Amino acid sequence: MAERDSYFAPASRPVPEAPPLEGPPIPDDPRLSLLLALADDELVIGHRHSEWTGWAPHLEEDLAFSSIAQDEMAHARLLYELAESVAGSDPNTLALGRRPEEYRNAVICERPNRDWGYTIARQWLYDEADDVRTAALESTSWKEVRDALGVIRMEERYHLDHGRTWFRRVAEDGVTARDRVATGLELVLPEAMALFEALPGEEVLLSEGVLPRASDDLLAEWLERIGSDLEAVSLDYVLTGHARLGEFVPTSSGEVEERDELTVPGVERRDGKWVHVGGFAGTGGRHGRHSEDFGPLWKEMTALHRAFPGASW
Amino acid sequence: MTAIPVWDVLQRRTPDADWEVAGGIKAPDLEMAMLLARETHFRHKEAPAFAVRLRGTEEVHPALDLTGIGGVIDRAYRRSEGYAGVGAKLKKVHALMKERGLAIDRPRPPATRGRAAEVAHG
Amino acid sequence: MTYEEKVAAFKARIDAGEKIEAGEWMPDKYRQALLKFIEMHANSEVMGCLPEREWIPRAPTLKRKLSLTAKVQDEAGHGQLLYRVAEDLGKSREQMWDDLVNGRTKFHNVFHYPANTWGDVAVIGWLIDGAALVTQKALLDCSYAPYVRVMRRICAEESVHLRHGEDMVLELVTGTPEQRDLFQDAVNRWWQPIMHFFGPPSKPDKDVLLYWGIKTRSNEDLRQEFFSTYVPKLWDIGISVPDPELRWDQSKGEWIWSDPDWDEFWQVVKGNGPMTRVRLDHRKMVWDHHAWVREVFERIASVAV
Repeated sequence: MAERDSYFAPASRPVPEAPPLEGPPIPDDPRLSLLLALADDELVIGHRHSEWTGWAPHLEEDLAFSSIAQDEMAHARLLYELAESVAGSDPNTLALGRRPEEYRNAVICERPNRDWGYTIARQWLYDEADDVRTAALESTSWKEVRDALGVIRMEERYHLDHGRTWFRRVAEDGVTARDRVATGLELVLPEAMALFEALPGEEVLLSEGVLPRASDDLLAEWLERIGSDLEAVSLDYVLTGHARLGEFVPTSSGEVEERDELTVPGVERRDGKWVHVGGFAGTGGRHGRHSEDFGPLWKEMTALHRAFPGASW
Repeated sequence: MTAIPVWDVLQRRTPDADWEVAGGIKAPDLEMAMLLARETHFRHKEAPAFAVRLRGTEEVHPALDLTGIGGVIDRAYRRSEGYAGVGAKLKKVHALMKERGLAIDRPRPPATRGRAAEVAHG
Repeated sequence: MTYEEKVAAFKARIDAGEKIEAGEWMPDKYRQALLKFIEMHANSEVMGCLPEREWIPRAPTLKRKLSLTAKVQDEAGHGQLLYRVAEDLGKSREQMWDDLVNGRTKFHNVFHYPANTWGDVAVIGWLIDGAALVTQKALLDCSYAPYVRVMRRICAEESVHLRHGEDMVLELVTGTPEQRDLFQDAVNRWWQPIMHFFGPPSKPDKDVLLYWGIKTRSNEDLRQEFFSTYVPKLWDIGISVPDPELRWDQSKGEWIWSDPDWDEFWQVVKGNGPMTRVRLDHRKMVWDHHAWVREVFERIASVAV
């Protein structure tokens, strides 16, 4: 843990103290759960990417990650704008003014950056997953989402290109670099699978054609895709070697009802391709259940917003 | 230790203009040169086309597709047009502060002196 | 031609306003002064990222989160451009970075200080960037053409930053009383470092940078321009400046100001600022741990080209 945390730049001052949030809860609505899953993933991973801004180990990559961070956060903003009418809150309130357990991002997005090997592994696997799900959503029955994703995907392809190029170059390199990225991949993999945890109300979304394909089906496509890329550079051992899943804890408010922790499906190679066996059990990020890393992130991200209610900046 | 080569980064100011040098990057090969040139030199939509050229050689390698570079959705905050009206806003705030008795009225040089802080994009 | 004659001819070209291109013959004294100056400029850009980047994760709105990320990204981008120019003068970026993180080279005094509140972000975005733009615009007349080309791009981006900073300031001073206080308090803390930024009044005839046309204006000249541009604006929005002597003297046609604590300036220049150690130590840790990323580049280069 010490090594992981050490790559945070030191701040001049601790996070300002701010009161907890009051106000009505976020409505329970299947469409909102889809938008918030997409938007919160983009916001929170964008937040993590932007922590490399001014700090990355390679100056050109500092610029690249800062651009990716801005793209992701701008996508979140666009999706919060769509969510505004359903949620009854404006984009800033949705982004910075919800209780921790109301955020629906997958846990992989909230994990600290650790080092560059982890960062590259996560960026590649996340953007492959984002590509799979946004491609599927291009045929959603919800027109506004379709239009927004059309624009978002024009920017996302640069992320995919960036992630794939770096993954391949590092994986084809010497032992040290391969080990760094392999270590990253082993840590990222199980939590990246949870990007495809079923959404609350997924049956409704499927029956209305809002979600054209089930999360489970998208997971299979993603796994087949990254499985063959990993095989191509002989790093497929990370698919079966990962085993571990990070600890899940209730968020800081303690208001999350007791449920089983999320466990992800196993991974096997069958008939020449990588497939998942079994399904998810328990609940994770899509139900507002986050890791021990989310509390500090949330506290810092929302502090000013909470400390000055209604202020203009 | 192998020296990492230098690549000139080229741009066209308009779709029909000639290539001109916009800057440079160090990259180990063409693929990385293209990737890094895009990230370092064109995030503000500086030019409609760019290319790289290994320094000391003639061959120009143009980027094939520029759709989306520098953002498709709103990136005004990155560019000066995102802050149009800030000067006028300052005048309004000045009037408001005068009204509230907070503005400080002391001798100052004539308004033309030293106010040319703006630099046009070139 | 003897060496002395070549140097004299070179100096005559500079005095006549000619620009020097990369790869041209130049006296070693010119090359050294230029390299040292551009290296420090580049170091300052990358170290200048650090106080502001602390507030990206804390930005109070989505718009500010985006714009602050973009702004700090631009500073890192300026570092990239400037190191590239410096490299062509004979020192690798790896060496410059190694010297920086190990405390062997310097960066501007203002980036040795903490950024305590969002008010500091506004001061840095408007007044520190404003001070920097005053000095950077003066470099558009530099005798070294590759530096000038990069400075054109940098100055254009900096003027966007300035408007961004001014926009943040105007929101704070028209906000709640606490927001106004955030800004006034930050101005009070940053004024002395800003005065230090322009340096002590120097003797123009002894300034080697002025001699070679690397800089074309004196410290005091630039400080006066900064006063004229920003002090009236601060007064207009009801923000005071913590120098009791500061006033415009109409008869002299210049600003009168009182000496800041120059001992503190020299301490900071020597690397004893409040945040110097911690920022360099963390940069060094990231740098040392990621040697493998640099090695990836070197290995690709050894087979590719």
